[in-house]
Amino acid sequence: MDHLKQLENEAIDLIRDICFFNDCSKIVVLYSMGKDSSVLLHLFKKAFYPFSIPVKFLHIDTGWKFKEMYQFRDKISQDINLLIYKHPEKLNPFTDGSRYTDIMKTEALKQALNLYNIKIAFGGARRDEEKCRSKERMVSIRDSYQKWNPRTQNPEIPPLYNTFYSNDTGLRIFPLSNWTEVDIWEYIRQENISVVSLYFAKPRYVKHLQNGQYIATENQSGELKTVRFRTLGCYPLTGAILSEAQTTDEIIQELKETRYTERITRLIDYDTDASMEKKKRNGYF
Amino acid sequence: MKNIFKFICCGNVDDGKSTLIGRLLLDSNSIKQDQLNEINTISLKNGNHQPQLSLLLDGLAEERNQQITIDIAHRYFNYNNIRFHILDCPGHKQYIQNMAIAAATTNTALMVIDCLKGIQEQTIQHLKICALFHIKYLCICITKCDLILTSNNQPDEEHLNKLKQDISNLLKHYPFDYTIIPVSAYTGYNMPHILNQLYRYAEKEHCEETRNTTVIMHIQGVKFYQNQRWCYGKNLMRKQPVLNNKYMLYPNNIPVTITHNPVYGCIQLKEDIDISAGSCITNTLPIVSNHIQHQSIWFDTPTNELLLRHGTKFAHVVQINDNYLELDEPIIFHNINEIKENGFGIFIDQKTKKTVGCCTFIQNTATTHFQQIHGKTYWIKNTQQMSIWLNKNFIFNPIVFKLTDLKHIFKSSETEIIPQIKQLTDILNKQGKNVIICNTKDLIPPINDNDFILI
Repeated sequence: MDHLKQLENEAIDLIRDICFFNDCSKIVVLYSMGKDSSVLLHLFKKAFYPFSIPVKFLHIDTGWKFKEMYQFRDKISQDINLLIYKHPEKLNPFTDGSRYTDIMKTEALKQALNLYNIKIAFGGARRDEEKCRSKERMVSIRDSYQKWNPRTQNPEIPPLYNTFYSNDTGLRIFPLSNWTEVDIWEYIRQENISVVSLYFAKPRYVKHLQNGQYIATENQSGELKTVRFRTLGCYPLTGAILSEAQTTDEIIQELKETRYTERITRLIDYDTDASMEKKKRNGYF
Repeated sequence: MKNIFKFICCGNVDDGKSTLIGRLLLDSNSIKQDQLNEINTISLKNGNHQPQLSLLLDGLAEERNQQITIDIAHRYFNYNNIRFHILDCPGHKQYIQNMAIAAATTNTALMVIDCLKGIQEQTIQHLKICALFHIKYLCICITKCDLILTSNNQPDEEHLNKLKQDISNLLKHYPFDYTIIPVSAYTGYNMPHILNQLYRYAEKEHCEETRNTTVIMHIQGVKFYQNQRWCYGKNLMRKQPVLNNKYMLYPNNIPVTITHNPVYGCIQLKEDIDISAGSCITNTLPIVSNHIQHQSIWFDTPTNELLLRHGTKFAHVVQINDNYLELDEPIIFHNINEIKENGFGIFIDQKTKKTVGCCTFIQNTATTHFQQIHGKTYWIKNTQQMSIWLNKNFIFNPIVFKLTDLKHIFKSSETEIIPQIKQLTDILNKQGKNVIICNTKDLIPPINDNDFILI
């Protein structure tokens, strides 16, 4: 069987398992407008065909996303039940550094889950993204403070997932665990899934940082380069790559030849050696 | 278009599992420059001028600091038309449950044995777990061969032969299809051999999968929409049911026809019947029972309130001891040696909601008493009972008789049985029923309403 088909089936099995055996009002799907979120949304549509998706989607807004992402969100929110949560504090990624990520992303996520009384959150994280994610379960337990402890996870034998959680714990579910970046793009091509236009190369105004990365600029300042984004986050924290790939075919070809992982374009993951692990342990998804 | 091939890497602690996998990833060009730079930096910090390949796998800070593997790492690489999915298992005794759960989901194991230390206690433990979960293929790698080089720069033949002999003697007691390859992940010696061997196993598994037409679909839920029941289920065997074919629905034990299958795992049935979460649609003959013989592994102390999850059913455990398990309702399963995917379950503690154990089903059908197990399924133990049945009127249509492992049950030659079956066949033919005789491991051919199945 085709690997995309197998990965799709595995993800749909998990989505249905969790949603059929739990109260859907306590479930959200974390939605970031990125490529993985778009694939996850598509899988949810398939899993509950011909019914509408029984769970809500949640976007943690920092206020610093690309404007193309907000436009995309407005378009998508007509189809799905989308909750948007923004942390009351107004922090700035340029000046507040790692505190910005802690408050605006991790803390905001924890607050939103408590506010809406959510016990189960789906996410589009993949094991090949980052070294500590390769240790993650597909059904991962979070303690009462939403923290991740790799030592207290359930032994997991797919497809027999433990879909239960106790009163003081919650679950994070990662149906795309076994997908790679190329799989995501092959699936987007196969299923014709719409994604934010920033993923495709186009002349854009960018600033060249000292570490060799390109950062998008506002107000048409900086230099004009043909770039695209491999990952999407807050624009001051997301590096662009020089690329000519304007179609999904070209992106897939580019990814097969690339010598770097996608995380290289995320400025926040390279603070320290185990920065992602620390963030996850604190409750980041 | 690739086929996914899963395998585990296991063996005693510090025998070089993560290093071997790191080398495989490196040789298959799946390590990117930034990852390599990162491990080079950490290796230098640790005082090593050569990159420590195990760092590619040990993703947690605790693991990297102690240089051990605590939890399973999932990594992927592509080689030719195969997507390899590696589960790198911890070797410590303390983390043996992580090795066990990985073994439950694959058919192939890469077992690592240190050429200097030889067979260790954990090696044997891991072999036992592999056997418990019916791992078919075992690729044994004798690692660190760069430590026993002789003057001609080749590993010491005499030493290797002795170790190979020890391993072969040990494996006599196990049913694995195995090969032994001496390697050195450090120098890359014999690494292409391992890749080729894994590729061969992947091809074999792919061939078996293509030939296999087994459909086992556990129903997760049913919804009503536009005057139709939409059943959602998970296909265990990677095979979609074929439209308009007949399948058996358990535990109801009625043949059903699939009329619509718009997306994966979503079906509609022609028959208007009661079907709910926990039911199973299949073209095999599963065992439907709440009295089960099993072998279990415990990750935590079992309590009095246990749930068994198998397929899409959560059944309460009424009674449990080392090899016998009684549930409050029947589950639909196969023996693990017949169909592995449908042959195990997990135990969930009802209080803490934690997964506390897993078990494999090893129902000995030969000793199951002649009894009505569920609905219209019957077990026949011996010829006398068979003759009782010959005089009965069969009011059910169709009736499924399970007569597994004929030779074993009757303990006599097959010729003695055949007249009995012949007699039964004649009677049933007179009643206008079609009789099909097949062996336990065969699949049921497409069923008609008038068919009678004898196995």
